[in-house]
Amino acid sequence: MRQPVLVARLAVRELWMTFRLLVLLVAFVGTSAVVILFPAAPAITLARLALGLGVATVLASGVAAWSLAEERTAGRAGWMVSRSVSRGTYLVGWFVALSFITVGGILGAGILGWLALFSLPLRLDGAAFVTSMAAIGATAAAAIACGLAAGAVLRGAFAFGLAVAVCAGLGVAAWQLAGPVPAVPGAAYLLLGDLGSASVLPSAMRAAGVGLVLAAVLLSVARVAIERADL
Amino acid sequence: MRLLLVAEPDRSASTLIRVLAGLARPGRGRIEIAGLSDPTKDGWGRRVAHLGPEPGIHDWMTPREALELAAGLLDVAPIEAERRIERAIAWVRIPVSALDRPVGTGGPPLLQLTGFAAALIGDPEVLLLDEPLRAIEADERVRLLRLPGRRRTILLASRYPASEAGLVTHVALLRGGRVVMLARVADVEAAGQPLSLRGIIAFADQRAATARPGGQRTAAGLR
Repeated sequence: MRQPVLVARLAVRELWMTFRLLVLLVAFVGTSAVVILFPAAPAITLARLALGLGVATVLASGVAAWSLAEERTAGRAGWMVSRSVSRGTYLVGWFVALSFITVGGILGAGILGWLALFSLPLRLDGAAFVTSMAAIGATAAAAIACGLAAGAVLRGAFAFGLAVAVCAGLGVAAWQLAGPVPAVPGAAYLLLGDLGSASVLPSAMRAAGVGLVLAAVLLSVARVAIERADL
Repeated sequence: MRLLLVAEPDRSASTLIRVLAGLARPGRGRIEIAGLSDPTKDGWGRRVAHLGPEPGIHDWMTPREALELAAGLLDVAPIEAERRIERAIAWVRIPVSALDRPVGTGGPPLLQLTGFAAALIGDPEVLLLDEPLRAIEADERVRLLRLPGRRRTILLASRYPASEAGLVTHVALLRGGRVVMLARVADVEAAGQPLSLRGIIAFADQRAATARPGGQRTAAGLR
């Protein structure tokens, strides 16, 4: 149990020292700050919040990819593995660290977003809002896992590009579909924009489930990839 | 045993060290060290340490932090960890003034000294060294690599075998990833060959020639 904690703590410190932690927090919390600073009609406010969180999620995936790729190529992943840390433990440590920061950012964005929406002439279902944010958190975890899978096989800029392209592509695909379909990755963001609808709560719960399952699948893919990678 | 790994003409000695350290995957086969095939800390993970040309320590870490992390990852008890850290620092002679400064500020020498000290924290039985401590001055490097302890096995991959004289007891030559010669350094020297890449290759060729039926004649013919 001690090794994953040490790896996660080291990952958080590395993200802090390289300002990537700050970039992630600013991306998520900054979205809500913009929503508060530029008041608009309820539908537009929700759409802005959803779009901003979507962009931040894509960025989180890219940061995850770049970070793991850099750890590999700089020999730092190898240093940990040669200290008897298994590759799986190393991957989980980084996933926990990135998810911890992202969830913190989403929490901050959610609180600020709620305050922004609270002042609008809109009847908001608190449970639906919280569930939508949880679904966004689960989707962000899947995006991070996707980034780690890319970072396990490709070098820095290529890993970043692939992770961003895949996540942005899925986001655009979800947006292009007629209405939010919970089974499609990225639907959580559309559900946030559709908070006035009565069917949001069950759909958000399904979207959260889909996000978690996807995160588990992508993390398994990343595990297979890092097991075969040269460190 | 202190074994020098030399490869001709590729870098397969480094690759072999990386495979043994678990940093690269072998195409086929499996690795057993001390009868164990599990590279995690429950297997031979605690008994083997690796040091490559790039130590892989974060630039912003201080030497003390890196050593504490190394001890923590190996689950060394705090009091024992403190003792081992002090012993490793004393052996590699990291200046006291540099102990709490980021390793990046001390350049490659401090980075490599810290990496070497971290490798010693686990008191490993097997030490895998790949072009180690090249940023350190030659005499000091020799002193550092002459580790005390009879029960320690050291595998040292080097492209400059002459610089490893006095550090190793045996030498292995790899060609195309295969071990083609394993000999005592004393035998190489007794054959009149220096401990250089050319000398080791010449010794391996001599041995191969004498091992073949009519080998003496072939070797003489080549001369």
